[in-house]
Amino acid sequence: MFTQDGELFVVVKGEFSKSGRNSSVVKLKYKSLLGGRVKEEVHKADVKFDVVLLDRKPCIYSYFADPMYVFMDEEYNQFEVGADTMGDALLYLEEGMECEVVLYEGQAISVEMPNSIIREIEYTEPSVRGDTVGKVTKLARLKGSGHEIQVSALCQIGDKIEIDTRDGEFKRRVIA
Amino acid sequence: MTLQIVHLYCTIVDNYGDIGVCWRLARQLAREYGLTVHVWVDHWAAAQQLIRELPDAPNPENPSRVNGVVIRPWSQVGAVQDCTGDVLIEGFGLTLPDTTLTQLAAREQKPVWINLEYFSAEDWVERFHLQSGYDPATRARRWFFFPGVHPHTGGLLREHDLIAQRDAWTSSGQAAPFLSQLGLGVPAGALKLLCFAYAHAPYAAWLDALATQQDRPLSIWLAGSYSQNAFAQADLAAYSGVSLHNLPFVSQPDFDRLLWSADVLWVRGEDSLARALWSGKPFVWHIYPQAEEAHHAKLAAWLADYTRPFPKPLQDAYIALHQAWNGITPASTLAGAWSAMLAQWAAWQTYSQLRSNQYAQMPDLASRLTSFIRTLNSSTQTYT
Repeated sequence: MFTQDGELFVVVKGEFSKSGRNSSVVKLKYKSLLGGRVKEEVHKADVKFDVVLLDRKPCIYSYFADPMYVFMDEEYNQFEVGADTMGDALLYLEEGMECEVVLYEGQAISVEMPNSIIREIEYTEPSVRGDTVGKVTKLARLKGSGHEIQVSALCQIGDKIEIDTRDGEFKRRVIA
Repeated sequence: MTLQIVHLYCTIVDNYGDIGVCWRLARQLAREYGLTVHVWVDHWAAAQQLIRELPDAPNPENPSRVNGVVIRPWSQVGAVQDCTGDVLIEGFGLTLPDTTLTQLAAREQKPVWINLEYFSAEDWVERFHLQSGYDPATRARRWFFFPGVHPHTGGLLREHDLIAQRDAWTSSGQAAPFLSQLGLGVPAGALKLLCFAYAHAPYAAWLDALATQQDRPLSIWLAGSYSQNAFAQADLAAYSGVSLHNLPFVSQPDFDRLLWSADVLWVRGEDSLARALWSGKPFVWHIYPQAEEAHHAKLAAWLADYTRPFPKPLQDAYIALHQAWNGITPASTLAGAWSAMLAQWAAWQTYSQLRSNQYAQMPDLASRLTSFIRTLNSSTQTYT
């Protein structure tokens, strides 16, 4: 996140390319967290933006008040975050989920997940004993968010799995 | 958008490629578009190698003017009231002098600020070309202009009368006296090769491949210190009919004439790539090596575009030759690659001329650049 002429922007997409010699350029898509406008810009890869001081507050996810997601801290203060700045947290959202709400000048602007979370599989194709030829992974749907990820072919409905939220990859089945 | 005064900044890093492109663009903007062009160079002595008309030392009271272009050293930026103009071009992602940045920041009505980028035929260039970014330090918008061969990129430098000049030269009979003036005595019937490559080229394997597979004399013209030094101790006793000649550093127009006078061109860098392309002669490109082999993808992208209409045997041979010359495959593959290329000799001649003519149908870089600047909304510098 950075400020530009006093406006706070969050980078939602970046494309980095090597141009020539030792030069690189970057194409950034960013969104204003105040006005919501989106823009794309190209910069030299060594571009510097104004550092933004952000606060982080441990919260839990409380409920959805369309179009905002509401989080609550331990003092029962509520923070609302829009869907478009929730990022990947939307993929794993479930009631009571622990996370950090990111604040800029007291206003909630995004949510950060822990690096690792546990989720239950709501649905996946059943595994057939012995039928492992070429089948290392399969698709599974998570309970709550409905997000689908590739999991081990051994996973079953109701299994709890650990997911690395930094890359969205399945890590392991959690054996109770 | 007002387009009259252009300030073009360039640096001389390790070769003369950057200033070569900048100098060529500057001359074209002055000559063909009537613009007032100022070129700022960071290394006067090196610039003098390319621009022979420059005095040994710059005179701040009487700035040098060559081919209608004013040339000054970076050290004199502070002596000039306005060093940003209507159009401010920084060559190849350089960092402008502090004084220029300060002037840029202070201006209420900003110039059109262009970063003239490196050439590439890669797909991503179209997504970046004519995109801009706001620079908070100067409160100015920097536009990125990418030379390229795809429709939505910046094109290649090509003077408006270059092809006509080339064709006139080719049919004029001036080549022989021109070469003689440069000290090149070319045996009758010799295959004339110009070699202008980087230090790491597989020179020994190259010479061996050429010398042992040719049934006529070879006259090899070496341009630039890397190629010349590579053969400084060359023992030609093992080869018959091979002569090596060190070329002097020549002006850009004379370099074109050398290309037009040769039979096969081995060129390096972006400016010479374009000149070789416009020559219509068969050529092989030695691409500038980059960290993490980033240049491999660039070379592949260029070869894919350039050889698109080639018959498959010619395409395969051409790509294999480039891979050997650029070290993507071992030097030991060069002999086989050259043999395969010789087998496609007639097709190579034909398609070299064809591709030159096809690319020449595209608008050139200077025309695209000036058109873009003129379409910018003067107050908001928006472009759609």
